[in-house]
Amino acid sequence: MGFLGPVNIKIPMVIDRAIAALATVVVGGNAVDVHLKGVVPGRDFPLDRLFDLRNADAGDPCPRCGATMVSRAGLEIGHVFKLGTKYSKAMGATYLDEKGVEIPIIMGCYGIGINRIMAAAIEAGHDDNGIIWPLSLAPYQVSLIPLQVNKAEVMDLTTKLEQELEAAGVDVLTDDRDQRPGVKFKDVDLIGVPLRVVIGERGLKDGSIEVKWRHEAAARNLSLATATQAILAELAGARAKHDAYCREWIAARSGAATS
Amino acid sequence: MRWSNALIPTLKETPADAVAPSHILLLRAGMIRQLGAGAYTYLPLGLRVLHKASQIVRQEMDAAGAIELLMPALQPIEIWKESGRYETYGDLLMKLTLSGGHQMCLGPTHEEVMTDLVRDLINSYKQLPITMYQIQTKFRDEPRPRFGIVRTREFVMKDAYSFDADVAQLNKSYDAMHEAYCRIYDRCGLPYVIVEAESGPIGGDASHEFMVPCSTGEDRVIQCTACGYAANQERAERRRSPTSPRRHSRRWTRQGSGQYVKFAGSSRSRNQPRPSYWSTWGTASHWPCSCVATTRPTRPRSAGRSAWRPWCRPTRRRSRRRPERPWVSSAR
Repeated sequence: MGFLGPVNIKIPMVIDRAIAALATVVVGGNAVDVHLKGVVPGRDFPLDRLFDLRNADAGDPCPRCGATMVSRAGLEIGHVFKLGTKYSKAMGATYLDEKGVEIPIIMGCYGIGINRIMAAAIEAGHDDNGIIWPLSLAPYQVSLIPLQVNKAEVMDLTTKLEQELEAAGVDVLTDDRDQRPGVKFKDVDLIGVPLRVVIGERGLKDGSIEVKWRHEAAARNLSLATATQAILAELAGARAKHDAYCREWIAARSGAATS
Repeated sequence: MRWSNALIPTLKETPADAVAPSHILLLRAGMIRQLGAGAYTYLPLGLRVLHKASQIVRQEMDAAGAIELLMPALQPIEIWKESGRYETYGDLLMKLTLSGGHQMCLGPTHEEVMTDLVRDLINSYKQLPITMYQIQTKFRDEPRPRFGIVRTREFVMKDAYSFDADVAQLNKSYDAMHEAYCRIYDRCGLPYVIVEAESGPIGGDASHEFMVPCSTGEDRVIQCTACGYAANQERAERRRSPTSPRRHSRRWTRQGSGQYVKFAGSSRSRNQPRPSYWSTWGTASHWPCSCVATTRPTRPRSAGRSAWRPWCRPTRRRSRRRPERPWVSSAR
Protein backbone atom coordinates (compact mmCIF):
# COMPACT_ATOMS: atom_id res chain seq x y z
CA MET A 1 0.00 0.00 0.00
CA GLY A 2 1.21 3.46 -0.81
CA PHE A 3 0.91 6.64 1.17
CA LEU A 4 0.54 9.08 -1.72
CA GLY A 5 -2.38 11.46 -1.36
CA PRO A 6 -3.78 14.57 -3.03
CA VAL A 7 -3.56 16.89 0.00
CA ASN A 8 -0.77 19.48 -0.19
CA ILE A 9 1.03 17.71 -2.97
CA LYS A 10 3.02 19.70 -5.49
CA ILE A 11 2.53 17.67 -8.62
CA PRO A 12 -0.10 18.32 -11.31
CA MET A 13 -3.29 16.44 -10.49
CA VAL A 14 -6.15 15.33 -12.71
CA ILE A 15 -9.23 14.01 -10.97
CA ASP A 16 -11.99 11.70 -12.08
CA ARG A 17 -15.53 13.00 -11.80
CA ALA A 18 -16.50 10.17 -9.50
CA ILE A 19 -14.10 11.58 -6.87
CA ALA A 20 -15.80 14.95 -7.00
CA ALA A 21 -19.08 13.28 -6.10
CA LEU A 22 -17.74 11.83 -2.85
CA ALA A 23 -18.49 13.60 0.45
CA THR A 24 -15.43 12.59 2.42
CA VAL A 25 -12.54 10.34 1.50
CA VAL A 26 -9.61 8.58 3.12
CA VAL A 27 -6.34 9.35 1.36
CA GLY A 28 -2.62 8.85 1.80
CA GLY A 29 -0.83 11.45 3.91
CA ASN A 30 2.34 11.69 1.79
CA ALA A 31 4.44 10.26 4.61
CA VAL A 32 5.19 6.67 5.56
CA ASP A 33 2.30 5.05 7.45
CA VAL A 34 0.21 8.23 7.47
CA HIS A 35 -3.34 8.39 6.13
CA LEU A 36 -5.88 11.18 6.37
CA LYS A 37 -9.56 10.59 7.19
CA GLY A 38 -12.45 12.96 6.56
CA VAL A 39 -10.83 14.66 3.61
CA VAL A 40 -13.39 16.68 1.61
CA PRO A 41 -12.73 16.90 -2.15
CA GLY A 42 -12.76 20.55 -3.18
CA ARG A 43 -11.99 21.82 0.32
CA ASP A 44 -8.81 19.94 1.11
CA PHE A 45 -7.57 19.52 -2.43
CA PRO A 46 -8.54 21.41 -5.58
CA LEU A 47 -11.02 19.96 -8.09
CA ASP A 48 -9.99 22.23 -10.91
CA ARG A 49 -9.10 19.51 -13.42
CA LEU A 50 -11.96 17.05 -13.67
CA PHE A 51 -11.99 14.44 -16.41
CA ASP A 52 -13.83 11.25 -17.15
CA LEU A 53 -10.78 9.05 -16.61
CA ARG A 54 -12.10 5.81 -15.20
CA ASN A 55 -13.27 3.20 -17.70
CA ALA A 56 -16.90 2.28 -17.43
CA ASP A 57 -17.39 -1.13 -15.88
CA ALA A 58 -20.08 -3.65 -15.04
CA GLY A 59 -22.64 -2.16 -12.70
CA ASP A 60 -22.26 1.41 -13.96
CA PRO A 61 -25.41 3.17 -15.16
CA CYS A 62 -25.99 3.33 -18.92
CA PRO A 63 -25.32 6.79 -20.43
CA ARG A 64 -28.46 6.54 -22.53
CA CYS A 65 -31.09 5.02 -20.27
CA GLY A 66 -29.53 4.73 -16.80
CA ALA A 67 -30.05 0.99 -16.49
CA THR A 68 -27.22 -1.09 -15.08
CA MET A 69 -24.66 -2.18 -17.67
CA VAL A 70 -22.89 -5.52 -17.88
CA SER A 71 -19.36 -6.23 -19.00
CA ARG A 72 -18.37 -9.20 -21.11
CA ALA A 73 -15.34 -10.37 -23.04
CA GLY A 74 -15.45 -9.86 -26.77
CA LEU A 75 -13.28 -10.89 -29.70
CA GLU A 76 -12.88 -8.06 -32.21
CA ILE A 77 -13.53 -9.33 -35.73
CA GLY A 78 -13.99 -6.05 -37.57
CA HIS A 79 -13.54 -2.31 -37.26
CA VAL A 80 -14.94 0.57 -39.26
CA PHE A 81 -13.36 3.98 -38.78
CA LYS A 82 -13.76 7.50 -40.15
CA LEU A 83 -10.18 8.67 -40.59
CA GLY A 84 -10.84 12.18 -41.81
CA THR A 85 -7.94 13.97 -43.46
CA LYS A 86 -5.14 12.66 -41.25
CA TYR A 87 -3.32 10.88 -44.07
CA SER A 88 -4.47 12.97 -47.00
CA LYS A 89 -3.22 16.17 -45.35
CA ALA A 90 0.09 14.63 -44.25
CA MET A 91 0.77 13.08 -47.65
CA GLY A 92 -0.87 15.65 -49.88
CA ALA A 93 -3.75 13.61 -51.34
CA THR A 94 -6.07 16.31 -52.65
CA TYR A 95 -8.73 16.76 -55.30
CA LEU A 96 -9.96 19.75 -57.25
CA ASP A 97 -13.63 20.63 -56.76
CA GLU A 98 -15.97 22.24 -59.34
CA LYS A 99 -14.37 25.65 -58.77
CA GLY A 100 -10.86 24.28 -59.07
CA VAL A 101 -10.12 24.60 -55.36
CA GLU A 102 -7.70 22.04 -53.93
CA ILE A 103 -9.28 20.12 -51.03
CA PRO A 104 -7.85 17.22 -49.00
CA ILE A 105 -9.71 13.95 -49.59
CA ILE A 106 -11.65 12.59 -46.62
CA MET A 107 -10.78 8.99 -45.80
CA GLY A 108 -12.31 6.08 -43.97
CA CYS A 109 -10.78 2.68 -43.25
CA TYR A 110 -12.44 -0.65 -42.68
CA GLY A 111 -10.78 -3.86 -41.53
CA ILE A 112 -11.80 -7.49 -41.11
CA GLY A 113 -9.49 -10.14 -39.71
CA ILE A 114 -10.15 -13.17 -41.90
CA ASN A 115 -8.33 -15.51 -39.49
CA ARG A 116 -10.39 -14.11 -36.68
CA ILE A 117 -13.63 -14.95 -38.49
CA MET A 118 -12.37 -18.53 -38.42
CA ALA A 119 -11.41 -18.39 -34.73
CA ALA A 120 -14.64 -16.61 -33.75
CA ALA A 121 -16.76 -19.18 -35.58
CA ILE A 122 -15.15 -21.92 -33.50
CA GLU A 123 -15.43 -19.94 -30.28
CA ALA A 124 -19.09 -19.52 -31.08
CA GLY A 125 -19.71 -23.07 -32.28
CA HIS A 126 -18.07 -26.04 -30.62
CA ASP A 127 -18.79 -28.77 -28.09
CA ASP A 128 -16.79 -31.43 -26.27
CA ASN A 129 -16.43 -33.49 -29.45
CA GLY A 130 -15.04 -30.75 -31.63
CA ILE A 131 -15.89 -27.90 -33.97
CA ILE A 132 -19.43 -27.12 -35.17
CA TRP A 133 -18.85 -25.11 -38.34
CA PRO A 134 -21.61 -22.98 -39.78
CA LEU A 135 -22.55 -24.40 -43.18
CA SER A 136 -21.10 -21.35 -44.96
CA LEU A 137 -17.60 -21.77 -43.48
CA ALA A 138 -17.31 -25.56 -43.16
CA PRO A 139 -14.34 -26.99 -45.08
CA TYR A 140 -16.66 -29.74 -46.34
CA GLN A 141 -20.41 -29.61 -46.01
CA VAL A 142 -21.04 -33.36 -46.22
CA SER A 143 -18.97 -36.29 -45.04
CA LEU A 144 -19.61 -39.73 -46.54
CA ILE A 145 -18.62 -42.58 -44.26
CA PRO A 146 -18.62 -46.04 -45.81
CA LEU A 147 -18.48 -48.55 -42.96
CA GLN A 148 -17.06 -51.47 -44.97
CA VAL A 149 -14.43 -50.04 -47.32
CA ASN A 150 -13.54 -53.52 -48.62
CA LYS A 151 -17.08 -54.29 -49.83
CA ALA A 152 -17.53 -53.34 -53.47
CA GLU A 153 -21.28 -52.55 -53.28
CA VAL A 154 -20.74 -50.16 -50.33
CA MET A 155 -17.89 -48.35 -52.10
CA ASP A 156 -19.79 -48.22 -55.41
CA LEU A 157 -22.71 -46.49 -53.76
CA THR A 158 -20.35 -44.13 -51.89
CA THR A 159 -18.62 -43.19 -55.14
CA LYS A 160 -21.97 -42.65 -56.87
CA LEU A 161 -23.22 -40.38 -54.06
CA GLU A 162 -19.92 -38.52 -53.97
CA GLN A 163 -20.01 -37.81 -57.69
CA GLU A 164 -23.65 -36.73 -57.70
CA LEU A 165 -23.22 -34.40 -54.71
CA GLU A 166 -20.03 -32.87 -56.10
CA ALA A 167 -21.79 -32.33 -59.41
CA ALA A 168 -24.45 -30.41 -57.48
CA GLY A 169 -21.75 -28.14 -56.05
CA VAL A 170 -21.51 -29.67 -52.58
CA ASP A 171 -18.11 -30.04 -50.88
CA VAL A 172 -17.85 -33.71 -49.97
CA LEU A 173 -15.26 -35.48 -47.82
CA THR A 174 -15.26 -39.27 -48.15
CA ASP A 175 -13.65 -41.15 -45.28
CA ASP A 176 -12.34 -44.18 -47.18
CA ARG A 177 -9.87 -45.19 -44.48
CA ASP A 178 -10.01 -48.79 -43.29
CA GLN A 179 -10.75 -47.83 -39.69
CA ARG A 180 -13.30 -48.73 -37.06
CA PRO A 181 -16.55 -46.68 -37.34
CA GLY A 182 -15.91 -45.13 -33.91
CA VAL A 183 -12.62 -43.64 -35.06
CA LYS A 184 -14.17 -42.21 -38.22
CA PHE A 185 -17.16 -40.72 -36.39
CA LYS A 186 -14.88 -39.13 -33.80
CA ASP A 187 -12.65 -37.58 -36.45
CA VAL A 188 -15.49 -36.23 -38.54
CA ASP A 189 -17.10 -34.72 -35.42
CA LEU A 190 -13.75 -33.15 -34.47
CA ILE A 191 -13.27 -31.41 -37.81
CA GLY A 192 -16.89 -30.31 -37.63
CA VAL A 193 -18.39 -31.36 -40.97
CA PRO A 194 -22.05 -30.30 -40.68
CA LEU A 195 -23.78 -33.31 -42.32
CA ARG A 196 -22.61 -36.88 -41.79
CA VAL A 197 -23.85 -39.63 -44.15
CA VAL A 198 -23.19 -43.25 -43.15
CA ILE A 199 -23.32 -46.00 -45.77
CA GLY A 200 -23.26 -49.56 -44.40
CA GLU A 201 -24.00 -53.10 -45.52
CA ARG A 202 -27.04 -53.39 -43.25
CA GLY A 203 -28.50 -50.16 -44.62
CA LEU A 204 -28.01 -51.34 -48.17
CA LYS A 205 -30.15 -54.40 -47.46
CA ASP A 206 -32.92 -52.17 -45.99
CA GLY A 207 -32.52 -49.69 -48.85
CA SER A 208 -31.57 -46.82 -46.53
CA ILE A 209 -28.64 -44.66 -45.49
CA GLU A 210 -28.16 -42.81 -42.21
CA VAL A 211 -27.77 -39.02 -42.01
CA LYS A 212 -26.91 -36.99 -38.94
CA TRP A 213 -26.37 -33.28 -38.44
CA ARG A 214 -23.33 -32.33 -36.39
CA HIS A 215 -25.37 -30.16 -34.04
CA GLU A 216 -28.20 -32.66 -33.57
CA ALA A 217 -28.11 -35.69 -31.31
CA ALA A 218 -30.22 -38.12 -33.32
CA ALA A 219 -29.52 -39.72 -36.69
CA ARG A 220 -32.23 -40.32 -39.31
CA ASN A 221 -32.60 -42.75 -42.17
CA LEU A 222 -33.13 -41.68 -45.78
CA SER A 223 -34.32 -43.85 -48.62
CA LEU A 224 -31.49 -45.06 -50.80
CA ALA A 225 -33.35 -44.48 -54.04
CA THR A 226 -33.68 -40.72 -53.59
CA ALA A 227 -30.60 -40.24 -51.39
CA THR A 228 -28.89 -37.49 -53.40
CA GLN A 229 -32.02 -35.34 -53.70
CA ALA A 230 -32.83 -35.87 -50.03
CA ILE A 231 -29.31 -34.83 -48.95
CA LEU A 232 -29.47 -31.72 -51.14
CA ALA A 233 -32.86 -30.87 -49.65
CA GLU A 234 -31.46 -31.36 -46.13
CA LEU A 235 -28.61 -28.95 -46.91
CA ALA A 236 -30.89 -26.31 -48.38
CA GLY A 237 -33.38 -26.55 -45.56
CA ALA A 238 -30.79 -26.53 -42.83
CA ARG A 239 -28.67 -23.61 -44.00
CA ALA A 240 -30.59 -21.03 -42.02
CA LYS A 241 -31.33 -23.41 -39.16
CA HIS A 242 -27.70 -24.36 -38.62
CA ASP A 243 -26.57 -20.76 -38.44
CA ALA A 244 -29.38 -19.88 -36.07
CA TYR A 245 -28.27 -22.71 -33.83
CA CYS A 246 -24.77 -21.25 -33.63
CA ARG A 247 -26.21 -17.91 -32.65
CA GLU A 248 -28.39 -19.37 -29.91
CA TRP A 249 -25.50 -21.39 -28.65
CA ILE A 250 -23.29 -18.39 -28.07
CA ALA A 251 -26.15 -16.32 -26.69
CA ALA A 252 -26.80 -18.94 -24.02
CA ARG A 253 -23.13 -19.36 -23.26
CA SER A 254 -22.18 -15.70 -23.15
CA GLY A 255 -25.18 -15.03 -20.91
CA ALA A 256 -23.91 -17.61 -18.46
CA ALA A 257 -20.35 -16.34 -18.64
CA THR A 258 -21.27 -12.71 -17.96
CA SER A 259 -19.31 -11.49 -15.02
CA MET B 1 -12.02 -35.43 -51.53
CA ARG B 2 -10.97 -38.85 -50.26
CA TRP B 3 -9.63 -38.86 -46.71
CA SER B 4 -6.81 -41.23 -47.73
CA ASN B 5 -5.57 -38.62 -50.24
CA ALA B 6 -6.04 -35.70 -47.87
CA LEU B 7 -3.73 -34.32 -45.20
CA ILE B 8 -5.86 -34.21 -42.05
CA PRO B 9 -3.58 -34.91 -39.08
CA THR B 10 -6.12 -35.05 -36.24
CA LEU B 11 -4.88 -35.28 -32.66
CA LYS B 12 -6.46 -37.17 -29.77
CA GLU B 13 -4.70 -35.24 -27.03
CA THR B 14 -5.24 -31.59 -26.20
CA PRO B 15 -2.00 -29.73 -27.00
CA ALA B 16 -0.31 -28.61 -23.80
CA ASP B 17 0.17 -24.91 -24.52
CA ALA B 18 -3.28 -24.21 -25.99
CA VAL B 19 -5.95 -22.61 -23.81
CA ALA B 20 -8.48 -21.01 -26.14
CA PRO B 21 -11.14 -23.40 -27.53
CA SER B 22 -10.46 -22.21 -31.08
CA HIS B 23 -6.73 -22.83 -30.69
CA ILE B 24 -7.18 -26.32 -29.20
CA LEU B 25 -9.72 -27.42 -31.78
CA LEU B 26 -7.89 -26.01 -34.80
CA LEU B 27 -4.77 -27.92 -33.73
CA ARG B 28 -6.67 -31.10 -32.87
CA ALA B 29 -8.70 -31.02 -36.10
CA GLY B 30 -5.51 -30.74 -38.13
CA MET B 31 -6.36 -27.34 -39.60
CA ILE B 32 -3.32 -25.36 -38.48
CA ARG B 33 0.19 -26.08 -37.36
CA GLN B 34 2.49 -23.74 -35.48
CA LEU B 35 5.77 -22.82 -37.11
CA GLY B 36 6.98 -20.27 -34.60
CA ALA B 37 5.63 -17.68 -32.15
CA GLY B 38 2.64 -16.08 -33.83
CA ALA B 39 3.17 -17.85 -37.17
CA TYR B 40 0.93 -20.69 -38.32
CA THR B 41 0.71 -22.92 -41.36
CA TYR B 42 -2.81 -23.38 -42.65
CA LEU B 43 -3.13 -27.05 -43.50
CA PRO B 44 -5.45 -27.99 -46.40
CA LEU B 45 -8.57 -28.20 -44.22
CA GLY B 46 -7.89 -24.88 -42.48
CA LEU B 47 -7.12 -23.18 -45.78
CA ARG B 48 -10.52 -24.25 -47.15
CA VAL B 49 -12.21 -22.43 -44.25
CA LEU B 50 -10.00 -19.38 -44.75
CA HIS B 51 -10.89 -19.33 -48.45
CA LYS B 52 -14.61 -19.65 -47.72
CA ALA B 53 -14.44 -16.72 -45.28
CA SER B 54 -12.45 -14.61 -47.80
CA GLN B 55 -14.93 -15.44 -50.53
CA ILE B 56 -17.90 -14.27 -48.43
CA VAL B 57 -16.00 -11.07 -47.59
CA ARG B 58 -15.07 -10.54 -51.25
CA GLN B 59 -18.63 -11.05 -52.51
CA GLU B 60 -20.11 -8.63 -49.99
CA MET B 61 -17.43 -5.99 -50.55
CA ASP B 62 -18.03 -6.18 -54.31
CA ALA B 63 -21.78 -5.93 -53.70
CA ALA B 64 -21.18 -2.80 -51.60
CA GLY B 65 -19.36 -1.19 -54.53
CA ALA B 66 -15.79 -1.57 -53.32
CA ILE B 67 -13.05 -2.39 -55.84
CA GLU B 68 -10.42 -5.03 -55.14
CA LEU B 69 -6.70 -4.52 -55.64
CA LEU B 70 -3.56 -5.98 -54.12
CA MET B 71 -0.82 -3.97 -52.45
CA PRO B 72 2.59 -5.26 -51.35
CA ALA B 73 3.38 -6.15 -47.76
CA LEU B 74 6.87 -4.72 -48.34
CA GLN B 75 6.67 -0.95 -47.92
CA PRO B 76 9.35 1.75 -48.04
CA ILE B 77 9.84 3.37 -44.65
CA GLU B 78 9.73 6.84 -46.24
CA ILE B 79 5.94 6.85 -46.62
CA TRP B 80 5.60 5.97 -42.93
CA LYS B 81 7.84 8.92 -42.03
CA GLU B 82 5.76 11.11 -44.33
CA SER B 83 2.46 10.22 -42.64
CA GLY B 84 4.01 10.59 -39.19
CA ARG B 85 3.08 7.07 -38.16
CA TYR B 86 6.73 5.92 -38.10
CA GLU B 87 7.03 7.63 -34.75
CA THR B 88 3.56 6.92 -33.36
CA TYR B 89 3.06 3.32 -34.46
CA GLY B 90 5.85 2.12 -32.23
CA ASP B 91 7.42 -1.30 -32.02
CA LEU B 92 4.48 -3.11 -33.62
CA LEU B 93 5.91 -2.08 -36.99
CA MET B 94 8.21 -4.76 -38.42
CA LYS B 95 11.22 -2.96 -39.82
CA LEU B 96 13.97 -4.46 -41.91
CA THR B 97 17.02 -3.29 -43.81
CA LEU B 98 17.57 -4.62 -47.33
CA SER B 99 20.84 -4.84 -49.19
CA GLY B 100 22.17 -1.40 -50.04
CA GLY B 101 20.84 -0.12 -46.73
CA HIS B 102 17.25 0.36 -47.90
CA GLN B 103 14.95 0.74 -44.90
CA MET B 104 11.69 -1.10 -45.41
CA CYS B 105 8.85 -2.36 -43.28
CA LEU B 106 6.28 -5.12 -43.52
CA GLY B 107 2.89 -3.45 -43.60
CA PRO B 108 0.58 -3.79 -40.60
CA THR B 109 -2.02 -1.74 -42.52
CA HIS B 110 -1.97 0.10 -45.83
CA GLU B 111 -3.19 3.66 -45.23
CA GLU B 112 0.12 5.06 -46.46
CA VAL B 113 0.34 2.90 -49.58
CA MET B 114 -3.27 3.63 -50.43
CA THR B 115 -2.91 7.38 -49.88
CA ASP B 116 0.24 7.36 -51.99
CA LEU B 117 -1.71 5.61 -54.75
CA VAL B 118 -4.65 7.98 -54.56
CA ARG B 119 -2.58 11.19 -54.58
CA ASP B 120 -1.13 10.11 -57.92
CA LEU B 121 -4.24 8.67 -59.54
CA ILE B 122 -7.11 10.75 -58.19
CA ASN B 123 -7.27 14.50 -58.55
CA SER B 124 -10.81 15.48 -59.45
CA TYR B 125 -14.13 15.50 -57.62
CA LYS B 126 -15.48 13.51 -60.57
CA GLN B 127 -13.43 10.50 -59.47
CA LEU B 128 -14.91 10.54 -55.96
CA PRO B 129 -16.25 8.76 -54.00
CA ILE B 130 -14.25 5.57 -54.36
CA THR B 131 -13.72 2.64 -52.00
CA MET B 132 -10.91 0.13 -52.59
CA TYR B 133 -10.01 -3.02 -50.71
CA GLN B 134 -7.60 -5.91 -50.63
CA ILE B 135 -7.38 -9.25 -48.87
CA GLN B 136 -3.74 -9.59 -47.99
CA THR B 137 -1.23 -10.74 -45.39
CA LYS B 138 -0.37 -8.24 -42.67
CA PHE B 139 2.53 -8.18 -40.24
CA ARG B 140 2.63 -6.90 -36.69
CA ASP B 141 5.43 -7.45 -34.25
CA GLU B 142 3.11 -8.56 -31.44
CA PRO B 143 5.01 -8.75 -28.17
CA ARG B 144 2.73 -11.57 -26.97
CA PRO B 145 1.15 -13.64 -29.74
CA ARG B 146 -1.47 -15.91 -28.22
CA PHE B 147 -4.71 -17.85 -28.52
CA GLY B 148 -3.58 -19.57 -31.70
CA ILE B 149 -4.73 -17.61 -34.74
CA VAL B 150 -6.45 -14.91 -32.66
CA ARG B 151 -3.30 -12.84 -32.12
CA THR B 152 -0.47 -13.63 -34.50
CA ARG B 153 2.46 -11.76 -36.03
CA GLU B 154 1.29 -12.57 -39.55
CA PHE B 155 -2.37 -12.65 -40.46
CA VAL B 156 -4.78 -12.28 -43.34
CA MET B 157 -6.83 -9.11 -43.30
CA LYS B 158 -9.36 -7.49 -45.54
CA ASP B 159 -8.63 -3.78 -45.43
CA ALA B 160 -10.76 -1.28 -47.28
CA TYR B 161 -10.21 2.46 -47.67
CA SER B 162 -12.81 4.97 -48.76
CA PHE B 163 -12.02 8.33 -50.37
CA ASP B 164 -14.70 11.00 -50.33
CA ALA B 165 -15.06 14.63 -51.25
CA ASP B 166 -17.04 15.70 -48.20
CA VAL B 167 -18.43 14.44 -44.92
CA ALA B 168 -21.81 13.56 -46.42
CA GLN B 169 -20.11 11.29 -48.94
CA LEU B 170 -17.96 9.82 -46.18
CA ASN B 171 -21.01 9.01 -44.09
CA LYS B 172 -22.55 7.25 -47.08
CA SER B 173 -19.40 5.20 -47.72
CA TYR B 174 -19.15 4.40 -44.03
CA ASP B 175 -22.75 3.24 -43.81
CA ALA B 176 -22.29 1.06 -46.90
CA MET B 177 -19.30 -0.66 -45.30
CA HIS B 178 -21.12 -0.97 -41.97
CA GLU B 179 -24.02 -2.66 -43.76
CA ALA B 180 -21.67 -4.94 -45.73
CA TYR B 181 -19.98 -6.01 -42.50
CA CYS B 182 -23.31 -6.96 -40.96
CA ARG B 183 -24.11 -9.08 -44.02
CA ILE B 184 -20.69 -10.75 -43.92
CA TYR B 185 -21.01 -11.76 -40.28
CA ASP B 186 -24.61 -12.86 -40.79
CA ARG B 187 -23.54 -15.11 -43.64
CA CYS B 188 -20.69 -16.49 -41.55
CA GLY B 189 -23.21 -17.36 -38.86
CA LEU B 190 -21.40 -15.29 -36.24
CA PRO B 191 -23.24 -13.88 -33.24
CA TYR B 192 -21.79 -10.37 -33.26
CA VAL B 193 -22.34 -7.19 -31.29
CA ILE B 194 -21.67 -3.77 -32.80
CA VAL B 195 -20.01 -1.54 -30.25
CA GLU B 196 -19.04 2.11 -30.23
CA ALA B 197 -15.30 2.57 -30.24
CA GLU B 198 -12.98 5.52 -29.70
CA SER B 199 -13.71 7.92 -32.47
CA GLY B 200 -10.46 9.73 -33.24
CA PRO B 201 -10.08 13.04 -35.04
CA ILE B 202 -13.46 13.34 -36.75
CA GLY B 203 -15.37 12.96 -33.52
CA GLY B 204 -19.00 12.05 -33.53
CA ASP B 205 -20.21 8.62 -34.37
CA ALA B 206 -17.02 7.79 -36.15
CA SER B 207 -15.93 4.31 -35.19
CA HIS B 208 -17.54 0.97 -34.55
CA GLU B 209 -16.12 -2.42 -33.69
CA PHE B 210 -17.75 -5.74 -34.43
CA MET B 211 -17.29 -8.13 -31.54
CA VAL B 212 -18.14 -11.77 -30.93
CA PRO B 213 -18.80 -12.34 -27.25
CA CYS B 214 -16.63 -15.23 -26.09
CA SER B 215 -14.34 -16.08 -23.21
CA THR B 216 -11.21 -15.86 -25.39
CA GLY B 217 -11.98 -12.25 -26.28
CA GLU B 218 -9.26 -9.80 -25.39
CA ASP B 219 -11.54 -6.77 -25.31
CA ARG B 220 -14.17 -5.81 -22.77
CA VAL B 221 -17.59 -4.84 -24.05
CA ILE B 222 -19.78 -2.74 -21.81
CA GLN B 223 -23.37 -3.38 -22.67
CA CYS B 224 -26.72 -2.11 -21.45
CA THR B 225 -29.23 -4.92 -21.26
CA ALA B 226 -32.15 -2.49 -21.26
CA CYS B 227 -31.57 -0.24 -24.28
CA GLY B 228 -28.88 -2.12 -26.22
CA TYR B 229 -26.15 0.52 -25.82
CA ALA B 230 -22.79 -1.18 -26.31
CA ALA B 231 -19.28 0.22 -26.35
CA ASN B 232 -15.80 -1.06 -25.82
CA GLN B 233 -14.44 -0.35 -22.39
CA GLU B 234 -12.14 2.44 -23.52
CA ARG B 235 -15.01 4.24 -25.15
CA ALA B 236 -17.89 3.39 -22.83
CA GLU B 237 -19.40 6.16 -20.82
CA ARG B 238 -21.40 5.95 -17.69
CA ARG B 239 -24.21 8.08 -16.42
CA ARG B 240 -22.76 11.06 -14.59
CA SER B 241 -23.35 11.20 -10.87
CA PRO B 242 -25.81 13.95 -9.92
CA THR B 243 -23.29 16.32 -8.33
CA SER B 244 -21.13 16.65 -11.42
CA PRO B 245 -23.38 18.23 -14.00
CA ARG B 246 -20.50 19.54 -16.09
CA ARG B 247 -19.96 17.82 -19.38
CA HIS B 248 -16.79 16.30 -20.73
CA SER B 249 -14.51 18.78 -22.33
CA ARG B 250 -11.75 16.36 -23.21
CA ARG B 251 -11.26 12.65 -23.19
CA TRP B 252 -8.33 10.33 -23.36
CA THR B 253 -8.01 7.95 -26.23
CA ARG B 254 -5.70 5.09 -26.84
CA GLN B 255 -3.79 5.04 -30.07
CA GLY B 256 -2.82 1.81 -31.82
CA SER B 257 0.63 2.06 -30.32
CA GLY B 258 -0.74 1.94 -26.79
CA GLN B 259 -0.06 5.59 -26.05
CA TYR B 260 -2.80 7.75 -24.60
CA VAL B 261 -3.49 11.06 -26.23
CA LYS B 262 -5.96 13.73 -25.35
CA PHE B 263 -8.46 15.19 -27.76
CA ALA B 264 -11.72 17.03 -27.67
CA GLY B 265 -14.08 14.20 -28.38
CA SER B 266 -17.79 14.14 -28.63
CA SER B 267 -20.42 11.62 -29.49
CA ARG B 268 -23.54 12.12 -31.50
CA SER B 269 -25.71 12.12 -28.43
CA ARG B 270 -23.61 14.82 -26.84
CA ASN B 271 -23.51 16.90 -30.00
CA GLN B 272 -27.24 17.21 -30.00
CA PRO B 273 -28.52 20.32 -28.27
CA ARG B 274 -29.26 19.66 -24.65
CA PRO B 275 -32.94 20.24 -23.81
CA SER B 276 -33.38 23.34 -21.73
CA TYR B 277 -35.03 21.47 -18.92
CA TRP B 278 -31.77 19.63 -18.38
CA SER B 279 -29.89 22.75 -17.55
CA THR B 280 -30.16 22.56 -13.82
CA TRP B 281 -30.93 18.90 -13.54
CA GLY B 282 -28.86 17.31 -10.90
CA THR B 283 -27.52 20.44 -9.31
CA ALA B 284 -27.65 20.94 -5.59
CA SER B 285 -30.52 23.41 -5.84
CA HIS B 286 -32.75 20.56 -6.83
CA TRP B 287 -32.07 18.44 -3.83
CA PRO B 288 -34.32 19.61 -1.10
CA CYS B 289 -35.81 16.18 -0.85
CA SER B 290 -34.40 12.80 -0.02
CA CYS B 291 -34.71 11.12 -3.38
CA VAL B 292 -32.34 10.66 -6.28
CA ALA B 293 -33.09 10.69 -9.95
CA THR B 294 -32.89 7.17 -11.28
CA THR B 295 -33.91 7.95 -14.83
CA ARG B 296 -33.21 10.88 -17.05
CA PRO B 297 -36.10 13.38 -16.97
CA THR B 298 -38.29 13.19 -20.03
CA ARG B 299 -40.26 16.01 -21.59
CA PRO B 300 -41.70 18.43 -19.04
CA ARG B 301 -45.45 18.48 -18.82
CA SER B 302 -45.71 22.11 -17.74
CA ALA B 303 -43.58 25.03 -18.72
CA GLY B 304 -42.70 26.18 -15.24
CA ARG B 305 -39.54 24.58 -14.00
CA SER B 306 -40.67 24.71 -10.41
CA ALA B 307 -43.80 22.75 -11.19
CA TRP B 308 -41.98 19.91 -12.85
CA ARG B 309 -39.58 17.80 -10.88
CA PRO B 310 -40.15 14.21 -11.88
CA TRP B 311 -37.06 13.18 -10.02
CA CYS B 312 -38.55 14.35 -6.74
CA ARG B 313 -41.01 12.30 -4.86
CA PRO B 314 -43.34 14.71 -3.08
CA THR B 315 -41.78 14.70 0.34
CA ARG B 316 -41.64 16.97 3.31
CA ARG B 317 -39.40 19.92 2.61
CA ARG B 318 -36.49 19.96 4.98
CA SER B 319 -35.37 23.48 5.40
CA ARG B 320 -32.03 24.55 6.76
CA ARG B 321 -30.67 21.08 6.57
CA ARG B 322 -27.87 19.88 4.42
CA PRO B 323 -29.43 17.88 1.62
CA GLU B 324 -28.84 14.20 1.93
CA ARG B 325 -26.72 12.70 -0.80
CA PRO B 326 -27.50 9.03 -0.81
CA TRP B 327 -25.75 8.54 -4.13
CA VAL B 328 -22.49 9.32 -2.41
CA SER B 329 -20.95 6.20 -1.05
CA SER B 330 -19.58 7.56 2.19
CA ALA B 331 -15.98 6.65 2.82
CA ARG B 332 -15.37 4.98 6.12
